[in-house]
Amino acid sequence: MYEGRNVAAIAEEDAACVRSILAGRPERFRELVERYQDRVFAILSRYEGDRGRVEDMAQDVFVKAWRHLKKFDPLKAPFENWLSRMATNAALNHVRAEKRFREQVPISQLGEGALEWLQQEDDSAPLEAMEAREILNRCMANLTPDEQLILTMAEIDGRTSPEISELTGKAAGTIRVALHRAKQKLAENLTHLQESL
Amino acid sequence: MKDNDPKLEKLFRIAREAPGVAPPETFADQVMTQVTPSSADNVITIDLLLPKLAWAAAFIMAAFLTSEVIMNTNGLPSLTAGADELASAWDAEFDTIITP
Repeated sequence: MYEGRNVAAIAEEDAACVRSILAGRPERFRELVERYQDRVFAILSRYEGDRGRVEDMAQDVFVKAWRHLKKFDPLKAPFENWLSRMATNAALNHVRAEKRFREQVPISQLGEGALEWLQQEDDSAPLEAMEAREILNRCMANLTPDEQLILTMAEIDGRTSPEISELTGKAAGTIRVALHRAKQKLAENLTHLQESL
Repeated sequence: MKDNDPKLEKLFRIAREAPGVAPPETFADQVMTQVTPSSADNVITIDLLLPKLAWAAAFIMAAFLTSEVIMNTNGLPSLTAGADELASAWDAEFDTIITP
């Protein structure tokens, strides 16, 4: 629907939609949900693989957006960024809550394909998305929630440091340092994981 | 540690290309059910409206009483007397109609 459209025009359309909702047309919130549900699900499913939990988290994000709609200021950021920031914060809270669970996943629970890929010298063996996710989760387990989030945003979502800075509210320099440290820890964890097999 | 860079890059690439969870078709309906006013909210709205109606009624009654007092004080025909006069006229007219 919005392919090829000017980003500024979409942002203005979103802002007009929000004004209309606040002026007494709550049914127009559906337009925003339908426009950005894929985006919110994409962000959340980077941090949680269970469909039901992603759906619950996405609902919470939209309900929170609804409740705070009066605080949305189109002059500060487009609606998409404002909503993405809420989804990212929900993901950060989720990662914080799930940290203990991640730490408790034993090596034996890694799939056969993942173990086989880890034992090979090179990376030529095929690897399924689920297996890659299992390995990354295992290697990220001892990273701080913020490091996990920044690493995921940078390396999986493909966001730049300034973008991550805008979404998390942290300084771009802090993001770069945290990202470097997180990648080092991840590489060390992968080495340890391979050595422990 | 450097030796692991290609492996890490591959892990990231596969994770990046993996399709995310797609929203169900009814997702927007589910959200709208939660955010739009329900019947419970309508009851709340009526609860808010009733005190306003009570205040409006009290104001009208006070206005009538005040005008009655002012008119009595100034020796003008009171509203009660006017109303009695109208009622008498209506009774007389009514009697004429129903009494052949």
